[in-house]
Amino acid sequence: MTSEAIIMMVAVLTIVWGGFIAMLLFANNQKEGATINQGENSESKS
Amino acid sequence: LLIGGILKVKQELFSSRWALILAALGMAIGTGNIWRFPRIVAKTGGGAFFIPWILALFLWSVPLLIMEMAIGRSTRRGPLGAIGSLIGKNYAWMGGFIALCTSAIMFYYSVVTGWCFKYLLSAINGSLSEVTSGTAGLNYFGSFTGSIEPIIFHGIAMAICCFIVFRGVTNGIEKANKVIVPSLLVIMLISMWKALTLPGAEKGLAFLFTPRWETLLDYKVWLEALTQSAWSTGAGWGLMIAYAVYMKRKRNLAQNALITGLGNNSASLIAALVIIPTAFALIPATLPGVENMTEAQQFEETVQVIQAKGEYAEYNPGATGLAFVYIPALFNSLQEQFGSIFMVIFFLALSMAAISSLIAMLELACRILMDAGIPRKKSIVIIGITSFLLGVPSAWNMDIFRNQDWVWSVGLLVSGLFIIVTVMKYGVNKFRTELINDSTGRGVGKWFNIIVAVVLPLEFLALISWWFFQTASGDWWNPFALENPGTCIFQWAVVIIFLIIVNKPLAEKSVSNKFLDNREINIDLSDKGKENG
Repeated sequence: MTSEAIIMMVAVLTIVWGGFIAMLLFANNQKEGATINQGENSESKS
Repeated sequence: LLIGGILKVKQELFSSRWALILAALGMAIGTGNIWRFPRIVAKTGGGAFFIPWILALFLWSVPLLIMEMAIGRSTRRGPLGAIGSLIGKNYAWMGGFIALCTSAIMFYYSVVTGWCFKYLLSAINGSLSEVTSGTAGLNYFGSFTGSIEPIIFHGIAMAICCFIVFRGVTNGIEKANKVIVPSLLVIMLISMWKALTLPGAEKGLAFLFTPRWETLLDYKVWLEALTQSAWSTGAGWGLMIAYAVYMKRKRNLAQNALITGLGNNSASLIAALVIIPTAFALIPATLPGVENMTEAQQFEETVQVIQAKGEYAEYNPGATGLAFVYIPALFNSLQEQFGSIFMVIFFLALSMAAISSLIAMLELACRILMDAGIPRKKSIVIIGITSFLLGVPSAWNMDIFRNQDWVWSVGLLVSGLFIIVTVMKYGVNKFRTELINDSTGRGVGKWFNIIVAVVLPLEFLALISWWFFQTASGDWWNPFALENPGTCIFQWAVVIIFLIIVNKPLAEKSVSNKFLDNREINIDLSDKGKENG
């Protein structure tokens, strides 16, 4: 593999896989505690 | 539940954020990730293709996914009722088109899912071991599609997915995706590891990532990237509208859309890292007269096979890439026991990807009936039987399959346009601030307005013109041709005219019906409530 191909591979994998994993971790770390979820579950439309 | 004169009817919602994300990923990751993406990367020369492909994700798929999520979450209805309630009942037919277009895809997608089941079964019982060349693969596929088996397997696929949707959102769709999506990703990663350790796989890796910068000057490469992103992520299909009906209100839409889009593209990349290195490692040995070929000739022939070009065009039935013709021969050429295991794993991954997407399509179709007041269980029986019957022609005849695949795949672009029109009619800025962003302003910025008002319509125009231009010949107008603009326009027109005729009663029911799939509504049954009407 040429160095150009290796750079392209690293860049693509970082953006796509890295972006996906980073977004998952970010979503996981967001504090959506039980209190909020309970509130959401009863989506009252009175 | 009657509490103090208030009738509380609870709506089903996804039980957690992860349940929603897994369902969205299951919807997006389909068979196209596995067989279409590697072929398109090869066709466009690899390497540099990734640049427009990633741009298309952010400039077409993610904005559309955000819009769909916002529409479904805010209206709690499928596309027909959602568009009717957002911009007026007179426009509900546009939502009807979105739903019918995706349903038409579902009819033949179930047939493809059946093919995956058949090949999985054949890989397990060893009957695919006789396929040792491309020609043998073609004969095997031909004898299969020429028999009654595709109809039987189509029925099995439809029955399994109907059963899942029949069980509801949390007990059916959510549970199925919790098993299917993580398993699929693990299976694909195992396959990738195996593919990358095959002798000769490094040539595939080099082909895949070497940038041929001159390809970026070719507009077709950009349009292929945009098309791949549009079809693969599920953006514009209306599927996300249906799933967002069950989304909790506080969810960050932009974040969920990004996870869905990037997750879909991650799966596509893994698939490319399975197929292309495997192809480069194994195809040369299966080529007739390989002993007289130079290494450069072997390389060229291998690229031709992956691209399904020239004499290998027939190895790509129903635009399914190498999957059903060449893959069995490749795995059979592995001189070890792992070959047959690899084949089982490959078709298992295909089957799982197909099921998780078919479930989403069924849910969308069901959602339309549920919005019209028909209970879920009755809806799924109606949809299941209708879809099976309407899928039979595609299972029986490959020409009908090809025609339907052409008409409704391009139709998805029109569906995308209808979503854009809905948001523009509602007011792009108003849509962004009221329906996407939360009360603290968290969500998307003003850049979103420009994307929706300028970029997306231009992309639609470019895509539709290009696809029509590619297939336009002397009889471009012929409504009975296999793949031309005429057959698209004819079939879309029939559907749109029908929808406009029945728009009033359909919209009336879908927009006004308040007893929608156990939605949580508090209905005041007390005297005060009666007085208030």
